[in-house]
Amino acid sequence: MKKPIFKKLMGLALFASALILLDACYPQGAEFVDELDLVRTDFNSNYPFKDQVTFAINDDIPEIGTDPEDPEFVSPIRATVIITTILSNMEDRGFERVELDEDPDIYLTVAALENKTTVISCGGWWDYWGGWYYPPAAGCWYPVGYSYSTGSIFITLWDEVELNGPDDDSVAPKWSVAINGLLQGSESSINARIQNSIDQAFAQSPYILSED
Amino acid sequence: MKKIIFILAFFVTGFSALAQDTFTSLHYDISVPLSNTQDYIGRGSWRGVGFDYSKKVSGNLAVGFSLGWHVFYERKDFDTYTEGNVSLSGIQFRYINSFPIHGNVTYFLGVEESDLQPYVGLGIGTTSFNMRTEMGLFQSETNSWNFSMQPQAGFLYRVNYNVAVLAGAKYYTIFKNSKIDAQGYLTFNVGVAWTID
Repeated sequence: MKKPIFKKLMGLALFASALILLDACYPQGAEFVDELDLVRTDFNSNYPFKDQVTFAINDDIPEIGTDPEDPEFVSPIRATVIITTILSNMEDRGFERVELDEDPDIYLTVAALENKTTVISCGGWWDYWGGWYYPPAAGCWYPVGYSYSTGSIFITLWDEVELNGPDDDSVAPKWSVAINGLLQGSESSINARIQNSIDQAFAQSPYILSED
Repeated sequence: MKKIIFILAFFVTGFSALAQDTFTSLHYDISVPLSNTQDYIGRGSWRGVGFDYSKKVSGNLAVGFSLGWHVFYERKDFDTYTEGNVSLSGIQFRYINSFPIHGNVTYFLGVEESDLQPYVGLGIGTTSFNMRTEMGLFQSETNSWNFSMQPQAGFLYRVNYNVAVLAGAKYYTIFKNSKIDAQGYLTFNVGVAWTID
């Protein structure tokens, strides 16, 4: 006698149930915002960092994406954290800060970028407490959404001679830093994470060292 | 959990001996990474499930197929990764999702009507091998279908007329292709097997 098809398929149904159970305990990755912090550095290995002594840096940090003619700037408190952390690291490596008009050997430029991302998806009743609702939309009874902001800081080191020379095409960064992370948490915790990330950028760049 | 599986197995089956023509098994798999897989994720995995179906073709010989899902995961400590002049620091979250699909040949050792039935076998087929590294807000992912094979050994121990517990091990060898190097891991399987009349 032939076996009923549902009996034949029951094993696969059980397997599918096991897959659902396994999916429920699937690892979710980062739990804390600082686990998403990222520091990238790149440098020109032919550049004689050790022969440089003085550097200049602006105290204001422009935000990328705003009108270059009338740029917006990072808040003074956060800018102070960023600049003082850079200064402290540069001085620890033997460099000396001078004003822009004092003919520095190198320039450091700092800029920031903030991105806000909004995600909207269709969810069930279980999403209610974790998110917020849009009014019901066509084809999606329970649309839920969330948003998050990410921030990046870019620090770039330029050679003064190259930067003020006649040939614009030869101007290239000698050291570049990109720091990226979630802008979530209190102002003080975000600033502490920024400070740690800048320290890390220097820690992974031992060649940033003045020997003169 | 095991109780639920047993109850479901009894519910869906008529009773016959395990020695009959076909049997099905569902097992929980614990995995240990080996070779290049271990270089990528050093930790063993508690997340795995497998399904086997076999039909006896003669005496102690059975053929069938098996499916599986094995998840490996590791949170690497904060570290700096350097390539050329570029250094990247952060915490990496690494994932492997392996979905083997194999045709199997199984040979049962010992007496057919015995409560204890050891077996050895070999599976050959393909595995969908997915490796993903998350770092910061970015991720890189490699999806690959590879030729693979899986020798296995274990035993069935009959606990009722048509239900047996299963314990065994499978060694998965995933062959190199243009996308990924050769991979390998060992799974220890504990589950239940049953027949359907």
